[in-house]
Amino acid sequence: MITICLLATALFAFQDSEKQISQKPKRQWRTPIEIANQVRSFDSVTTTTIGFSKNGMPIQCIEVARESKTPIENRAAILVVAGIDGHHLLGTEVATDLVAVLLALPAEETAPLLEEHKLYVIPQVNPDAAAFYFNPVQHEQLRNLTPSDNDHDGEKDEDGGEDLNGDGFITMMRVPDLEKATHLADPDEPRLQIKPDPLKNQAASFVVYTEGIDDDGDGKYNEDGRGGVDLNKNFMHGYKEHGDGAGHWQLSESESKALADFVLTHQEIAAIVVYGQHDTLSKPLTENGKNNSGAPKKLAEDDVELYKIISEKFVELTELKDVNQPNWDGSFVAWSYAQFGVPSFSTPLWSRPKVEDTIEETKTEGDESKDNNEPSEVVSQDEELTPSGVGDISQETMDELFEAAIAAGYIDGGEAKDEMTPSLEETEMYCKMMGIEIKRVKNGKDKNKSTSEDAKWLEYSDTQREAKGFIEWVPFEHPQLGAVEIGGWVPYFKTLPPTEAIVGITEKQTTFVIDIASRLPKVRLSSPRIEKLSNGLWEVQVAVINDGWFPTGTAIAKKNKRARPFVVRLDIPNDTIVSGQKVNRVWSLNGGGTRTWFKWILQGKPNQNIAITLFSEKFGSKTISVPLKETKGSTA
Amino acid sequence: MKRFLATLCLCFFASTSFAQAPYPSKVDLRFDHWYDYAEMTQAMHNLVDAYPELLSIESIGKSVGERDIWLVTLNNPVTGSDRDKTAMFIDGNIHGNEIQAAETVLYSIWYLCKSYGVIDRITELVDERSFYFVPMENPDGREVWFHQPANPHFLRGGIRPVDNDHDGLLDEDGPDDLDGDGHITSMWIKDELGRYEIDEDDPRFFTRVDADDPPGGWSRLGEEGIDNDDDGRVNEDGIGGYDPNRNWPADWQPEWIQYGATDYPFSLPETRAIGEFLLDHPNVAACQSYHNAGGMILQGPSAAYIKYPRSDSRVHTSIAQKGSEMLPFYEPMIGYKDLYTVHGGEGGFMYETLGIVSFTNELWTDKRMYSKDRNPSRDERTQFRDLLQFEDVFVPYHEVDHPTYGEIMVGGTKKYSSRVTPPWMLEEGCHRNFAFTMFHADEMPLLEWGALDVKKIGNQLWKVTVEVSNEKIIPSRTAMAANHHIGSPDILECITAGTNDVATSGTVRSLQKTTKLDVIESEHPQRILVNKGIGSKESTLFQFIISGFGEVDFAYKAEKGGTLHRTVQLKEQFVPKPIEHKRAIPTDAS
Repeated sequence: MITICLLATALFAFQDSEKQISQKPKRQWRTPIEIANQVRSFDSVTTTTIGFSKNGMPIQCIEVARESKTPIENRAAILVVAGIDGHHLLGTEVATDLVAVLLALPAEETAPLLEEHKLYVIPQVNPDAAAFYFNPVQHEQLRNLTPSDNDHDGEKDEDGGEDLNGDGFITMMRVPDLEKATHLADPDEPRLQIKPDPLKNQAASFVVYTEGIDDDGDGKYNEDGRGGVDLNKNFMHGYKEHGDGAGHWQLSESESKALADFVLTHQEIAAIVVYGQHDTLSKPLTENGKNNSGAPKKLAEDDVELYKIISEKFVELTELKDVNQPNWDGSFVAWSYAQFGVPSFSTPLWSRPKVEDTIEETKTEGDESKDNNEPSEVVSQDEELTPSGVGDISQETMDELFEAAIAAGYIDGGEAKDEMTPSLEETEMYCKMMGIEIKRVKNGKDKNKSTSEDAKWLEYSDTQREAKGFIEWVPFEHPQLGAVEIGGWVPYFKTLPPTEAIVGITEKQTTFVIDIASRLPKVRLSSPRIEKLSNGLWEVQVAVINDGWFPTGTAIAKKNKRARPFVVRLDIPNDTIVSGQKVNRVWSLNGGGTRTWFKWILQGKPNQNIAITLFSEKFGSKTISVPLKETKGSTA
Repeated sequence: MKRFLATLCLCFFASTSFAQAPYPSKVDLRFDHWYDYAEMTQAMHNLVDAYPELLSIESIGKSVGERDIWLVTLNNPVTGSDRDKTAMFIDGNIHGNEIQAAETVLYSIWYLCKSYGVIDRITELVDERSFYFVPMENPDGREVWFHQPANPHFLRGGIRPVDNDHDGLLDEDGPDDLDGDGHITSMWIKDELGRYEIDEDDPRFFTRVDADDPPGGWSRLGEEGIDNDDDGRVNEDGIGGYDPNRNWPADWQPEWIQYGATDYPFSLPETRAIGEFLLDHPNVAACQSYHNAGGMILQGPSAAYIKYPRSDSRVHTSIAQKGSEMLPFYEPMIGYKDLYTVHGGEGGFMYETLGIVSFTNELWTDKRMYSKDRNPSRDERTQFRDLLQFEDVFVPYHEVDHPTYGEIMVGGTKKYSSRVTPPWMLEEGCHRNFAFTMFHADEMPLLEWGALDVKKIGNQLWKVTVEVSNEKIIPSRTAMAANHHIGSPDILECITAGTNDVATSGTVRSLQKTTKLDVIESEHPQRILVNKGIGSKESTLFQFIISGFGEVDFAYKAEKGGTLHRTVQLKEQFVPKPIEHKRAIPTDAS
């Protein structure tokens, strides 16, 4: 860990000094062209172009591996993908730096990744959208640039935002249009807005639009800007037909199709880590029901434990926890898990540092006028708790308690529980007895301070980012709307940390990727056990053993037969086999030395050589050859 | 001018072919013949060469096996470009073994061309509409059926190699034509314990002996073939191993839920080429796909959990109902209920993804053997094959020396023994199905201006009402398209001159004095978005309140209903809906 830290610092100290010459004291986010050049400049890696964006930018893949006794073409691979979400420049920086850090590290520290396996890094899948950061006028562009008719008026991309006040950002406008008004300034924090609560005698006083003019004169402001398709809604698992930003169909986009084709033509990929808006690591994913067609919406039941352990390790290594987990339907990571069938993880790499230990986690109405490119369907964990009527204990806790009680035989299932009305004290006692964590519904009514997500961001901006995350509302004379106020969140403020954070994040992610590599399945054949049954008749047994940590196939891959099996092939003429199959398949084998035996009875001459081949699309092929003669004892 | 040219065209054809039915074609094609890929390609080119004024041909992509996927466009440019007209897409043979689908499509092109300018109904249809034909959606599968050993069910998919038996090898052990007769039939072996015996009445059959009877002496070994990879299994990994008709994006599901789906929708060049063509041709309002067999007119949904808007289901059902009357022994069916569940099929793509009214016909049914509305018995089928097909569909059992099994019997039904329409019955099947698609094509939306009413309601203030009507069964936008915002909504624009201006606009239910304008709130009153389009056999009254004087132009644009223009003088007037011959060639309205 220390070596990584030192090296990374050295690496970027060098970069920084370079930048200083061009009078940029601080590390800057790199443009897609700079990233592409950086990728090409790496020594001792193989770089390929796996496809092109809408605007013709190459999508590059870096292959990193060191020579060892395992030929590189025979090794399983880990794939790191970043920049699927156009605004996630952080992922691209970290993925690119990851390569630099790994190459600079001592060989023994990276051996599990670079000598036993190999690494593919695709740092920027959506370069066209990433380039928007560097426009003279900034707004966050998550989607690619396929023209689309977001407002269904028969025209595409005809009304995007404009930087009216010339501050270089497209922010928001508050328009004091009492007829259409939807919001009022939050009395606790007037920079933010809330929806009126009639019970508090609140009345809306303005409507909020994205900064800009009504280009197409339809009375709507900036309702159909550039693009596009959210590439993370364009993959097959949970794909929402006709969904907003989902594209005409699965993999309709050159970028997403290039990525899927790369993965599908590299069956040696055994685990995938994504840097982007989705999170599968900062808290454990759960099994979450099934789609219409019977596929699990999230994890297959038997993969939950595996994901939990990796998640715990991730939190330990990266200290990144409890990040919001946007709906993953249609995302690359959902597909690579559920349909490509390998352990797949995603992390946004950064979240707002905690500044509000005293503030209870209660979500209030936030900024409603989000533009089309904002990630949708963010589910806050606390929001999901339902009051139960038993004190402040949540219904979720009550359900858990009843389930445990039914399982333990204390009460009957079915309707029995409906008749039970335990008191708060009883419930707390029972929970303690059953070892159930009590999740309480939080009550934000008596708070006198705004505690929304936005309020926390604002506090973070004020206290830690020199108030640079938010632009104060300033009056502006709008050519169409008259007197308005312009202000609001600075684009990318909620997505990107200060660039100083990149080094530390990369260092932690490097450790995590190496950790994943060290867990990959290690599958081998045992030495065969051979027993002579009679003249010319032999019993041959061999075990397939997984000495790694991961199973050779996730539970989902077992279910969907997507993880191709390990093939154990006895290379002798079929008509000399008396019992047993010549070709055998191992669909999944747990790690930790788990083994599965194959047995043949065959005819052959003493000392005649027989060959047994273990073949896997992911882990290469190995053949052992032994003479037909008795072996002694266990040889595995 | 357009009308003049069209008339000229008509005269030209009429004078050169003043023949009587059956009308000759410039290209002699027979429809008691199955065309292989090369012959079909040649026939399509011959038609295009003979009828260049109506036909054009292009390759929209290459199959896995690098064969062109041919698409013929039929359009009369005199009445407008193909893209400006409402179009029908007619395809076949996505399943390689379902071959007569392609002949049915070829027949359609052939019949339309030879009848244009000769049969008024056909002339009108062709002038009003455009047509896209893809007879062979799966050229590789067709080629295998014709030129490699095959059976009635093979090759359904394509030739991209798949490791069907998960042993790391691709397509290493398919069937083998042991006797070299071009048919993959069955292998039988003498077996003291075998539970089959040679049929007493008909030695071409084996029958299973009853459980309490002694063994019959024969066992079936499966389809003709050897264990090519010596793994102890025969024919376990042949050509391909997927289904191109499970490779479309609507309700696509992965392989473990839907066999044959492949890794993702449109992973195959064949389906992708068609999908991209259709995305690029939003003027397509109707689709017909041909398959075999069973005598079905299939409509969606193809899975129980998919719900279709009721108005669209009614449209489908009423067209299919007519089809069942035109096609004896064909039954209208709803996929998931009456056949089986399909995820990722072409029909679903057409309707669910693109909002196109679509049918899949399963050509040929054994009911046609004796023209009786029930399936013939085994004996009746045998008799049909013996007496009407002169025993030509059966390979008599004969001895073959098998490398593993030794002496065996090989024989059974030939690849054209079932599913494929017998050649001498083919033409009628082609014609009836073609006629059904023409009924379907004719029911595509055809928008017309209806009544016009201009009333003065103040000083230089006008209430202008224009009616847009659709006499056809299919609306200009299906409810599916409207609900999911597929493509562009219909747009009615009032193009004002410098002397006038639209104050407000909307729809009205009638022209009665008590009827008020239902205003469509918009900053663009001169541009009305008509998301639901003009419904099935419906008309809509649009009203504009216009200030000023002079004249205004109206344009109604529907992706799937063409574009209408009309100039209106701002003066008190009422023009009733023009009553023309229903089939008249559309002309510039004035």
